Amino acid sequence: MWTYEKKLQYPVNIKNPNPALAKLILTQYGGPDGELGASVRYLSQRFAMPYKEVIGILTDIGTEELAHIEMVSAIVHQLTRNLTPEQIQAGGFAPYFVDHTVGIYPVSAAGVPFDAGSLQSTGDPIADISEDLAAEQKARLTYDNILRFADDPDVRDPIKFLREREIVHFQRFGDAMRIIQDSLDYKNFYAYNPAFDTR
Amino acid sequence: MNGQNNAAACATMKRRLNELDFAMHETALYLDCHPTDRKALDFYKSLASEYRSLVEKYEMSCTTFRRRTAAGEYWTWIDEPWPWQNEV
Repeated sequence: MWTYEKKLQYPVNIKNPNPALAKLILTQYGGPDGELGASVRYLSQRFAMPYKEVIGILTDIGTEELAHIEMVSAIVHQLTRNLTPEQIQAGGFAPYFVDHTVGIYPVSAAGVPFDAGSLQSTGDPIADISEDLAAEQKARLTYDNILRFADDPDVRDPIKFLREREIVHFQRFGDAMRIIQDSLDYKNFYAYNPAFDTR
Repeated sequence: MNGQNNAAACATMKRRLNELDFAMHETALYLDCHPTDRKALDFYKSLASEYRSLVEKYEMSCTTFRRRTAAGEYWTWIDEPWPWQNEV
């Protein structure tokens, strides 16, 4: 089960609104490579994992991703304060605004609501961890792309933190893959599915 | 004067707690796949020990961010600022 601590994993203190940037950053909440997808993916995959170390890492990283959802939401919230209708319109934020005002809703930068089709939980340890390695890279590159458009140091700071976390997670999933492979026959990793077959 | 000192002291403690918490989290992710690494285990234990005593001190002098300890003169759990609220 989950405990909530009333703090952000890393501080978010933005002074200047920027609805155009908010629209882009929101993709790390509801977009195809965002924190919500990551969290659901890892927390779902752990049930079929037959390795306690990998269950541990999926649980702990999946939980951290929930804290990242909170940070992304905090950034978007602080970027969309005290806006005039002109600022909303000029920032390309009007389509989101009509449906959600300045509420936080999981959607991609292109306006597509969160879709679980962007993630998988295959019940096959090698496939799941391979997907997780790719997911962390996709999240990292999305933060790279966001940084191309963010000049405000108040925004760059938490975004760079979130980007670094993706790189660390990639390393940890590499450790998990090693544990899985070490337990299998090096001559054929695919002889059976350790999550389902009994050998 | 005393209020200002207290605010500064609380901010320093809060920062140290966040540092310890993050270091523990990073070490935990490493330990998940290296559960017998002695150096990492000892590091985690020393962080956890400093965290335990500092969080108690912080909750006595400043505030709490844990619901478990939020029952005081009133239900402080709901107090603002919530983590995404900052003064502009």
